[in-house]
Amino acid sequence: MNKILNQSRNFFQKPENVILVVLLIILVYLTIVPLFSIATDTFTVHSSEARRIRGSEIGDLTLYHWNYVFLSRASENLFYKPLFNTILVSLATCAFALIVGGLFAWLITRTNLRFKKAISTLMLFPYIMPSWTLAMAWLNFFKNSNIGGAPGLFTAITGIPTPNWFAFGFFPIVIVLGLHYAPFAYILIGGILRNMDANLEEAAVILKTSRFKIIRKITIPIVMPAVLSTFLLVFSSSMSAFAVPAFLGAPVRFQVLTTQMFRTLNGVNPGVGYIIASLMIIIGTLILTINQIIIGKRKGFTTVTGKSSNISLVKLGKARTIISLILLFILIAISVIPLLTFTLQSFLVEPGNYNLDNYSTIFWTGEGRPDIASGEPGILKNKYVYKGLTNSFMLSLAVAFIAGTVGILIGYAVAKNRGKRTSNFLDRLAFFPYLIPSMAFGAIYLSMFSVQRGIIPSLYGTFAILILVGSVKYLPFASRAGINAILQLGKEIEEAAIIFGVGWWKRMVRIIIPIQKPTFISGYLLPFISSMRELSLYILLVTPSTSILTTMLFQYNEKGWDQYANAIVLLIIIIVLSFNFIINKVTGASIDKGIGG
Amino acid sequence: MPEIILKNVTKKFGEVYAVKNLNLTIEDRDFVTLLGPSGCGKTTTLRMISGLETPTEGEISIDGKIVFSSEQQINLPPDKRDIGLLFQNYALWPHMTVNQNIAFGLENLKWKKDEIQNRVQQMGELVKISELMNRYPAELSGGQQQRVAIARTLAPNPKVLLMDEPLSNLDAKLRMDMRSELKRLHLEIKATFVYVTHDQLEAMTLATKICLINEGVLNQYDTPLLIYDDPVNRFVGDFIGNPSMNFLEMKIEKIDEDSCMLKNDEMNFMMNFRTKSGEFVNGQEVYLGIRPEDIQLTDSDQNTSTIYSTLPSGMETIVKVKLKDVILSVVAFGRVDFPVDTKIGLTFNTTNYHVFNKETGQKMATGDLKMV
Amino acid sequence: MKKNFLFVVIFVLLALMAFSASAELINAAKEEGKVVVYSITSRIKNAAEAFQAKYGIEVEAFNLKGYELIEKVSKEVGGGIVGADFVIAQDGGRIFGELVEPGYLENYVPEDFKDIIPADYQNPLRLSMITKVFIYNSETFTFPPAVNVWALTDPEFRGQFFFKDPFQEGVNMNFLTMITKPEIAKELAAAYERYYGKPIELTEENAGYEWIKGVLENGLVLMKSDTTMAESIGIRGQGIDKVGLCTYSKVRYRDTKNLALLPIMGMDPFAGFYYPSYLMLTENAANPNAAKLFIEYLLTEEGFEPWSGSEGTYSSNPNILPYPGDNSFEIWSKLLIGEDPEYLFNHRIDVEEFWNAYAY
Repeated sequence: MNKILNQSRNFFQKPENVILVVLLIILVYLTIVPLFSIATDTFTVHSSEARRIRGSEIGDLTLYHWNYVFLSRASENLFYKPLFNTILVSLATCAFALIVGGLFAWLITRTNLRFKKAISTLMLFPYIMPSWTLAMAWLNFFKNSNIGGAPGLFTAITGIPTPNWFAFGFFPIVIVLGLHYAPFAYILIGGILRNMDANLEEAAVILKTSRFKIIRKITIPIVMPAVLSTFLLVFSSSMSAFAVPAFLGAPVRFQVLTTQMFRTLNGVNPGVGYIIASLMIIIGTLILTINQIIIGKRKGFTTVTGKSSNISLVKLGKARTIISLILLFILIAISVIPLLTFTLQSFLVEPGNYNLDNYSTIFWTGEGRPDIASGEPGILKNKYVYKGLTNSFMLSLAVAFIAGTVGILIGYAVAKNRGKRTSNFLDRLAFFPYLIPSMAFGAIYLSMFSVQRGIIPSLYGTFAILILVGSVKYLPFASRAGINAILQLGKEIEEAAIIFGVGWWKRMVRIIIPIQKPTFISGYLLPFISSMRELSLYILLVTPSTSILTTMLFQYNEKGWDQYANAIVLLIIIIVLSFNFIINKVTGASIDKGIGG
Repeated sequence: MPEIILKNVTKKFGEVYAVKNLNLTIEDRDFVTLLGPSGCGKTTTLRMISGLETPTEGEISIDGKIVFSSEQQINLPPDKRDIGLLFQNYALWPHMTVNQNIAFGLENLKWKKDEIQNRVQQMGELVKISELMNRYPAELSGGQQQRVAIARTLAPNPKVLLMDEPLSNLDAKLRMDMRSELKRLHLEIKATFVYVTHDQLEAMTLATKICLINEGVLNQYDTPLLIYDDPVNRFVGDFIGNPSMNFLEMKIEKIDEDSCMLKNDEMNFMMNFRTKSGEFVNGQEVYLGIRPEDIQLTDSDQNTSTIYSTLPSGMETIVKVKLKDVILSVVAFGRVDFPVDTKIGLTFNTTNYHVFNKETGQKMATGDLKMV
Repeated sequence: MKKNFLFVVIFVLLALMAFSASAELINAAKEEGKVVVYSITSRIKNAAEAFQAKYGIEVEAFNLKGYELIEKVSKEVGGGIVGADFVIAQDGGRIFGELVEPGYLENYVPEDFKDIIPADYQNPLRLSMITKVFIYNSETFTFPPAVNVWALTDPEFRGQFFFKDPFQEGVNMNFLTMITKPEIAKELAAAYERYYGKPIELTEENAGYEWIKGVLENGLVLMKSDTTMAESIGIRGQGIDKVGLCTYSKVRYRDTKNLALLPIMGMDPFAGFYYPSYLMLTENAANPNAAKLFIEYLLTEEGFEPWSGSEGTYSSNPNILPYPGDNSFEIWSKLLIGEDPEYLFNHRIDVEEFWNAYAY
């Protein structure tokens, strides 16, 4: 007995063990337990369903929802077709993102492309900007009159009408999502290519192997784990995309799982929504498991060894400048033109009329005319917009602070206990929320916390639930950064301080954190930016008093008040870009360090 | 008064023994090296003394005070053991200047500001880095970083200095210089040094006593020369000495009070014992250990062999000769060389030849050798 | 003389008292200092400004969609969380069962209006009747392009009909349910005969279901917003030939957004539908007196001004006249389908299932 007590005392003397245990308990409660809540909810009759399920009371257990989703007359349109659409879209997006991202990565790291610095900076833009901004820009540009209204800028400029399959549905969804995730692929694949020992390829060059064969037989197999990792992450991300298919798919009734989830959770059949959410969680877990099996124990940290040898670059020859310019223009087009369309649309009074006399600043600074949008004031004078802005900021700051700090703690606990089962478990637990689609995650928290749970009161409509769901969802970014940071550091740096009797807190604050500052800061930056532009995570949990900019944007869009929507998009993008820029300049941290490039 | 005592110290990782039942006494002001091949447990032992690693069982005391006991559940943290630890890759804090690096530990021990500065200056002079005080580690060469690390470790004046292969990251010439520096340092500051290395030459030249460890078990703990001349088993004999000892597989015959015959298919030797331990049985299988410098090359017809290869290094030449189908390493001193494939004679002139039990590896006898 | 003067004074005071809120209520409301309202109509914000200017009480007005409002109120009030003080809600098919019956919403009729508002509009208290009508682009067409609802199921009209997504806004689902009511389905069957010249062959339960299936299979375009629908149909210079079933009040954008919109009043057998908006207090209102004051305000001509300033919305207070040039609600109610709460309660689910099978 004494021995066990002593063993526990020794165990808890080490700070990494204390953190491990505490965080395990908290995370299990916040990640695993809600899964049970949502599973139960798929069998429960909810208040809006009492009439639908004849003879039932609210709170009863029922198989109705399961039956309805899989076996009823409505199942095909409700579930099977959207499932098919979701998978198809995700696969196509992966392919697109990998090809585009991989191509850029190879061109930048292995050829003598020009304007490399500009291209690699611009390459991050589509990822920093929320994915639905590209969707909105696409609509601004390419919408046709089949849904009525004015055609987009493209038709206005060229006079060519756009066909339905081009303007809405599968095609633009894949392009928009693919472009959004291409930077992801670029960073991950580029990272491997950069750290790859050039000798491997050079040995083949000396043996007179052709360039293509080198790429095929050497480069690609080595890059394969990164490619597969990217594939899986992009697949699960695009599976959970909501706003893009909502904007681009709705006009032609192209449904995916997330849009169905939104419809049902917000409507009269939440049980169905919870089933869809559960399904997406299962798929997400499957992907995580497959990823683990492929990567094995390596887990994807890149230790900074990088012997930056000068590898010989492929010469692009005469086409060099042309190719570089083309790429540059494409990137500028993707990054800048949407911003221009937003600006343009936010000044148009009469939709579709691009004549100069139709421009006005009322949507920015106007007092509000009752005959346009019911007197909603321009966004710079709109107290609700300011409230939304403040809420967004406060929320994202809180989320970033919590996620980033806990991420550092997790990094410490996992890295110091590396190889032990508990540490692996904590690592996986912290990463789990990443693979749950945002909306499903919101649904889980809706199910779990909108009623009283033990000592925790109902959190519905509070700011607290938003902070909670955001912190847990973005924890993976921060914990990855934290783990990477501590592992890169090596244990001797800390042990040298332990020998001098420096306490844990002081070691963190005076040594570990200062040395790995850039990586830690990206652990704060990523959650902040992600939260600022997040829609589907929060949309089920937000109430009028806790509105944030993105949900207001969605509402404006839904109401058809396009000008306000465009103005707010612009606002969000400016904030996000400025923040990224400032943090980058001041601390050297940036998004790509966080992702692991 | 004995400084560091390890009693029955064992460390297990899962089912694997990293260190097995180690008993070691390090005297005050010794310079002891823990020597052995990779993975033998020497670093683990060092870390257990420092407190960074916790033994599975056993007792460790430093300067009369028990710092670890598995029985009594005592486990003092490193800073309470009055030790210093020098890391293999220095572990200097890259975001602090040299001055700050050295001062940091002292600040933590709550020294007064002026005391700290004095000590930092003092250390700087001791290891000769006074003009580098305001530089950052990234701006220093490997040797300079090493010295900063030493200064930092010595600053709080620890009674025991533990070093984990501190010179292995330096280039060969610098390593030689630093070895002399360390030996001088040992005399000047009068602390106990415990030094881990896998380089037997380093251990031989630096230590007052060598602790030779293999697979977690202590093999021999003696002064360098004793280890060299009087290895207790085959492993020790093989590990120490460069080029390493020649081993011939032999069988014992015709045992006498003071001598015996050693035979194999190709050759016969007669040995007169100088020392003897253990049971000699007829027909017993043994190893005959011969150091390369204990074989002399002569022009005579005695024991003719053929030159197989030569490696002249200026001061000495390592010659491999083929004697009746067995290849022996021989060291010839001086600026000599021999053409390959010529005939040369061998004599065995010293009394430092060893017989090891083939099964247990234990040494059975030492004596002279005559080829018959 | 003095007597007359006294009478006048008393009369005026009484009149003032009759048509203005009691002083106690105003004081109690001012002490609370703030009121929060969830509303399905966006013009609440204008009313809020006017109210704020008049009484100095701060208003937080939120415009929510029908389903959102029901969702949020039931979660908030049900979970004991303070949110809205009162609501302007719609969707008779849902709010009775989900909000009124559990006690989340309470009815309040200001004393002074008990004799003014018609009795059957009082429980629950209605703010207004809102109409949705078939509209078309008056620049492209001099005469309406369709005068019979069955034209919208005709392949000739494929993809030309816009309808608000009924899962976005429940009242649209109520409309679809109501047309399956036997009496109305009969009228639809008659209209079919008038259009095609032969009796309808039923493949579904009745003509109502048949029409729903017909438009769904004829490329029906679902929209998320009435404003967008109005724009999509009314933009000039594009030759737009679509027809939509849209909130009539959107025609107020005629001038400001330069849209060409007119209703098809003669659509056979109905020109659209109407539904009431309800004014109710929440059970856990933090500022009940301010809410009551605001409710009262909205029933007055001054308070209703944001809505009476254009066609399509008709106050429950018959003393408030419709927008000049618009027909009175009596006239409209004869052309439009209303809500029958009991029928809706029993049949809306079936219609939703039916819709689900074809729509998504």
